[in-house]
Amino acid sequence: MSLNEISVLSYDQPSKIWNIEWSPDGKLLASCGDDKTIHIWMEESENKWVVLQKLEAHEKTVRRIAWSPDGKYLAAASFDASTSIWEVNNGEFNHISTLEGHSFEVKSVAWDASGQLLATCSRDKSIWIWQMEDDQDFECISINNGHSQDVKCVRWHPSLEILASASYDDTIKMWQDTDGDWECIDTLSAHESTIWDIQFNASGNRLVSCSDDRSVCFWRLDSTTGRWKLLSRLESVHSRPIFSVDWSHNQELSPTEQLICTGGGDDSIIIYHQKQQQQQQQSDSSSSSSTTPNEIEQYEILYKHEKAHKSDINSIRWNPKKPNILASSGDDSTIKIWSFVC
Amino acid sequence: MSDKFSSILKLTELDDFITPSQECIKPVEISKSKKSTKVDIDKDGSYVEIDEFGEKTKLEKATITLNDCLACSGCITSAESVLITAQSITEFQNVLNANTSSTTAVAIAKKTIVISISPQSRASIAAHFNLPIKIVQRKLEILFKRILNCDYVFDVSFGREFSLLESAAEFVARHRKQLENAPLPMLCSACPGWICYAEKSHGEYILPYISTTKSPQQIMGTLVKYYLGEKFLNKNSRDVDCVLSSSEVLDLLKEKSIDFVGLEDKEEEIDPQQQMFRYLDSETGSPYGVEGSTGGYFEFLYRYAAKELFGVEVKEIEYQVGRNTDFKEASLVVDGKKVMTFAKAYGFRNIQNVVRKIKIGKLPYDFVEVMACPSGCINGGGQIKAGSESLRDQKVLIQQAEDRYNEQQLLQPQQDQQINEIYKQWLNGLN
Repeated sequence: MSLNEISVLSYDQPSKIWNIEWSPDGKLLASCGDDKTIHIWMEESENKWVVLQKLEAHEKTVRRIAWSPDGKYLAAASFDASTSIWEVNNGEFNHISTLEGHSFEVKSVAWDASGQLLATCSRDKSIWIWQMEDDQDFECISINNGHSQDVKCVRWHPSLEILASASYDDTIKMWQDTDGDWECIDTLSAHESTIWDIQFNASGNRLVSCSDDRSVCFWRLDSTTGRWKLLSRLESVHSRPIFSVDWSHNQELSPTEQLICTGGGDDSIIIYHQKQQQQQQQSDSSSSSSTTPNEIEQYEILYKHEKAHKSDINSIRWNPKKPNILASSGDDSTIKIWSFVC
Repeated sequence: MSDKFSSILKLTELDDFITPSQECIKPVEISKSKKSTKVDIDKDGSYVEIDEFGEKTKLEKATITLNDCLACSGCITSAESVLITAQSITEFQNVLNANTSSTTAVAIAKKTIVISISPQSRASIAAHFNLPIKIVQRKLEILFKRILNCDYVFDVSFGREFSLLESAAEFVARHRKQLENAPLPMLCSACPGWICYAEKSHGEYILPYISTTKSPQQIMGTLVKYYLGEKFLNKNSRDVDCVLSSSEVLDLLKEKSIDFVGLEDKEEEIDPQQQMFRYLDSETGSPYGVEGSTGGYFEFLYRYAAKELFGVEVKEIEYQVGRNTDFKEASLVVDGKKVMTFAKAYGFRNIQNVVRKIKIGKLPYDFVEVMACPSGCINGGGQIKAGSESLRDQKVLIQQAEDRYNEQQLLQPQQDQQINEIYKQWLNGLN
């Protein structure tokens, strides 16, 4: 088993690279950081990546970015309290809109599965949901208050209109539209410190979260109650805070073959999988509702790669199309592309 | 602080202006100044800092966040918390106690206490006790006059009528381009939460759009003090000296162990002068109301402008509901052409869209009734909340309050002769 570095993408100017995101077709990579720009990278020739375009619209750090599901739009959340929207036309990115309203730094941004809804969250503790109109303008359809602290991350369910948010208040909240008002439908507590990142599995019945408390939690959706239960908590997997987590959504892999990866302040990358015991019981939750919670579903570390970067790893993402290809970015001004060989 | 405004507004440990509270995350740069300073409100309503030598310094404006504005008059700075404390139940009781004190010296300084009841608060209390609006009105009169020894109990609705007339006249003047720096759309100015947010967060570009008309409560205070002032009041700089929220009235009842439901509700003789300010039908005892539980700005201005500007008598207003129930609009169509479009935008998500669209010049309305609270004033920050945390229970209670509000007897402001007379005198007096 090995994690092989296949490309290194370096910034010209030093910058903490806070977030990287693959375009939905897996061909482009967007990155952002404290240099206030967004870099769009493309693979010019095999394993040789170049900057296709550098996007500049923000006055402060760009904390996170998000591609719309069809890859036609890119949204960027910035510490300047605004979110910029970019349209992609024939490989060219144009700034079409700026969403204002948050009182402080915008920390994260996410498009829902339909590409119509956009969620943003901020240090002002609120989560805003925007809807894209026909004229490409945005309307704010909800302002969700519920977290008692800075909201670090928002993620949409892969198929349903359910939004998950993770906060400095150590909880994850689930939000859903009920009669035109977005309500908090569940609060997930298990972490003992800030939750930096969360990701659903491809079918949306599991969630993984990583925290400043150096643990990774796996959650299961109880299809009868619609509530989330803690499945397992892996303690002290990293020796420093864990900043980023991803669960692969690769169509070429079966649900149990999908891998999870984390990156953190200890400069290492860890890859996890679901324990391969009693495979026949690991089917999707769509099975009959009379089955009791599956006690034996467990996750474990498959591989750990130390010193993956020279400094903190801020973001780690599986390529959506190529199985076992992942990218990581760090405080060391570099992005690395890796191939995981089982 | 014991004030019963929205929990978002409950600030603690405020002791210095501009200094964020302990829980505040706003990165304000604090210039540490003199040791013992005090914040006070000056005569002109501005905030001043008083140092240990009694020297006054005018304080600069602090910026405010969205959450801080979620209910009426709640603010982040301690100077404004002085203002909020001044509105509390304690302040109210201090005045009551001073008045009932028997020494002659105090008796000379006895204050005349005028209570003005907001119709939305009355509806909130009526929904809470499940009592008809008429009965609640009488019980409130008994409560304040007989038990708490206040001098008069009036109705804010009386002031609202002037606010409606004045807003309507302003809208028509704006539409005819008779006013300078007063563009359309005109945004309603009655909601203090919205005004507070607009002034502090979007001052320069949004203020010209906001109606210059005072809110019903402010007008009521002004009317009471100036119109009746010579008879029984000393002139004072503030329109309204103390505001009790609906839930604070509940606290007051609890504190004094008053059984509100058990209070008498017989109609009593009241002199004609007071009768006018009570603003209720003397035969049925029902308070006068307008269509629309936010004070009826949308409805009144729509009908008034349709007639004044386009000669159209509007009977039913046909609303189109937007993506949420807190956003509605209606258009006046003349000869197949839309000539005027009004909107209601309640709650902060809809306020955001109004502000955003004004900024990019894409707000397709002539008038917007903007209110900070979802569902409008009937769900205001100071109204009585449902017993449980459930949003559904809260919605049921709001509907009950709305129904109680609609028990009021409809009366168009123009129909009331006294209002018309005062309005004319009032305007003449101003011009």
